[in-house]
Amino acid sequence: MIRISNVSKSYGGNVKAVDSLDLHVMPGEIFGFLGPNGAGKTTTIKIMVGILEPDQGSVEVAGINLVDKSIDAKKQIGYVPDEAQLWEKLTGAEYLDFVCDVYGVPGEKREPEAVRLLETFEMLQAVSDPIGSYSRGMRQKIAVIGSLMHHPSVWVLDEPMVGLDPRSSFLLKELMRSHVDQGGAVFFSTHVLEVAERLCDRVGIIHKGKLIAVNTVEEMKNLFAQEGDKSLEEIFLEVTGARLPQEQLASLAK
Amino acid sequence: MSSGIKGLRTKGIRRPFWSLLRMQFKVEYSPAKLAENIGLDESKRKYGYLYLGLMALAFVPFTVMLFGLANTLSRELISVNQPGLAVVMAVMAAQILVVFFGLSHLMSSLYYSSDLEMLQSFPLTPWQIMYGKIFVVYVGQLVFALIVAGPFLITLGVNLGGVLYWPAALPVFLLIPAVPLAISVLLLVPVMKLTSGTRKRDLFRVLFGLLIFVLVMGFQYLNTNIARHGPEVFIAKLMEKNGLVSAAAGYYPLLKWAAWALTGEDAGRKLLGLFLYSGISIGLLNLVIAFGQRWFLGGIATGAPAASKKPVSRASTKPGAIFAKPKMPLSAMMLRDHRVIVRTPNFFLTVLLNLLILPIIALSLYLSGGHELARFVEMVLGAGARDVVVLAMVGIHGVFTGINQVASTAVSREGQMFWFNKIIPVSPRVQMRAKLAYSTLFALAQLVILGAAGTWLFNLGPARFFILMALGILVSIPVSTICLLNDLYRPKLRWTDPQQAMKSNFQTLVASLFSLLYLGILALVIRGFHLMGVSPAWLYGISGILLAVSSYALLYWLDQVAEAGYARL
Repeated sequence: MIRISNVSKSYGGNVKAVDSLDLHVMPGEIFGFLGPNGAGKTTTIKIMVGILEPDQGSVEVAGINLVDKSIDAKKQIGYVPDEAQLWEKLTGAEYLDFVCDVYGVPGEKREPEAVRLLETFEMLQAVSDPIGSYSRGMRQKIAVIGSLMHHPSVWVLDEPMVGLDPRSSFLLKELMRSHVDQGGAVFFSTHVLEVAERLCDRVGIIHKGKLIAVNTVEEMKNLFAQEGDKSLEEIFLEVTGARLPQEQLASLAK
Repeated sequence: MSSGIKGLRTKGIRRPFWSLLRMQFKVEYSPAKLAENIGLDESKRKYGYLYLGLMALAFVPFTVMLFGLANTLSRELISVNQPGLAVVMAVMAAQILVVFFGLSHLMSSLYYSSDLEMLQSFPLTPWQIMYGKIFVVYVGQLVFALIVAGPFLITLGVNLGGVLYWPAALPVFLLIPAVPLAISVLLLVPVMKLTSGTRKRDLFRVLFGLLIFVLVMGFQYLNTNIARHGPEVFIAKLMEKNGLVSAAAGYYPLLKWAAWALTGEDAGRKLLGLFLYSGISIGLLNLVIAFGQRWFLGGIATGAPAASKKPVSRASTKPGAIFAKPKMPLSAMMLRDHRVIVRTPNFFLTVLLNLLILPIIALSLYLSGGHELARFVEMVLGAGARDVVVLAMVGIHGVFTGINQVASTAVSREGQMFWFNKIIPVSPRVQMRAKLAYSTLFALAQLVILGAAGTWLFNLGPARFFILMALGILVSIPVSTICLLNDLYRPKLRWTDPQQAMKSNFQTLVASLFSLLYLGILALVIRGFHLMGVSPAWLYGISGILLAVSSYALLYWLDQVAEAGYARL
């Protein structure tokens, strides 16, 4: 459903944000994308949705090459950025209407779909208010709703749970599961490893631009099982070298 | 189209491009947006157009004056058989203005707006995004063109009296921004693309902006300097109808074609002028966009534009250099203000242009006979001319301080980060003083340039130069304080594009009006003493005392309201 082949991206010629990345997300799969800050997660996602051009390599979404047929490929994607920069002067409804226009959602289908999603995320009452008056969580919700209005086959969500209340977060996870059960694919990045552990069919860990581990959570646990039963968090800390030596921890605690 | 959810379409489908255009206009020119630019609070935002209309009333005297000037000019030019010259001047002035304002508006709209990433993720072509953005800029520039060219084109039409003038005047006016914006896009897109991956891209872009400014001013001066042809040629051209049009248009035939379209000697010439002017304007803009859109996409997609965050550098940094010198809160805050200005291209370009405008004016004056200026002023004003010049320059410096945008947007530039100022253990009084100190330092830089240029042009001598410096510093403080007070009372803190913080708002305009009022009162008092025959030395002394006393009073006011002002924000 998403095929990333040998993708690299550098900034200013010297900082390689993504380095020879190969990844395949299959239909019916929730794929969790993990990595420390600055590892290259957001750059990878921006390449996947057509915001950034890779220096090399290619991306296919639902079998459509993102460079050759970018418009067709983008129509397959529902994207929620890490910080949704929405137009503050538009109302929630005007934003959804604009999104429907650009994705070609017929007028007749807009309201039923909007009402369904707005009710799900308890946003129906606020939809006529300007986005500028929304809280962070409400903005995130309207961004999520906007990304789903055109029934995309591939969901690409960058830190989608940030700012969401527990109920909305739970509902979004349910929607993700339901979407993949119907043959779609979900690719999302998160720092909340418990969520990844419970929700994802597979996870990938990116570090310094390189994909250093890709597998099911269970397989990963098995791989690291010789040193005892480890959580995804412990595996993550180990492969990214994030553990601090005891002496350094002690000096920081002073 | 009825719908249970207001704003959501229930039938049919709108084309993506039209939807994009509609949305961009709503975002840029809605009553709420305009009201926010004026500085109105949330409750009054639905009356944006009304308040804007009321503000426009303040400019009625200026507009009446401009119409009067344009009317006199067009009558005179018609009487000497050169009506086309009014068209050349109107279109040229408006187009120069569009280059300056349009370039930064384009830069801001195409590269520094916060919605670009969102738009790129939608199934929209770069062509659609670029056209949508440029069209919004185009309409904004038409307003500037209307203010500058409108009075000249309208009075010319009235004085010429023909009915057929108006159908031609409309496209001539509507197409004024086309070529300047095409030129701006042509220069901007490759530069943004070429600098997008470089480490010092912001600096390159600021230098590029300055270069454009200098080039346009240089071209405009050389192109329209009719005097270079000599007096015989000038008189010969004056004898034939619209003879001066070609000379004034120089190497930029668009001006000539606009003049032909409106004042050509026969219908054929008028049609030819209109055809060439419209064809080239529309054609060039579309051609540039058609070619530019590929580079535009590349410029954004290959490396993060300023609106997006820089990638995290994995190179190690040495914090020692940053933390080596502890600073007092006042100087730390001044340094932060300075860093924010010089590292935000939009801010930096604005302040650099403020510094550059004076030398350019001085040079233009000199090149167009300015070396005779000192003698001329002495001839008109008599023996005390140089002292009058010094006092006038102090006033001019006050005006420049009021319009330089450093003080008048000092609080607004904090934007969404203003919360930080509220939590730090530094009193609002000290914070405002730091802003005042930085603004005054900037005004000082302007003053040195103005003083040097004035001393050179008017042969003032070292003693008067130092008096000018002293009084200039004294006038910088109250004017900067007035600007700060205005910004503290109604800052524009909610912005995502730096353009909105420093230029696309009315902070500087309102602050400069208050400054002008203050300077006007001071000037009247000094003029009164002058008429009473008070000697120049005493005039300097009285000016100094008035400035010092008013500075103290205004500073006291700023200190008193700083705390309350911060609490309100």
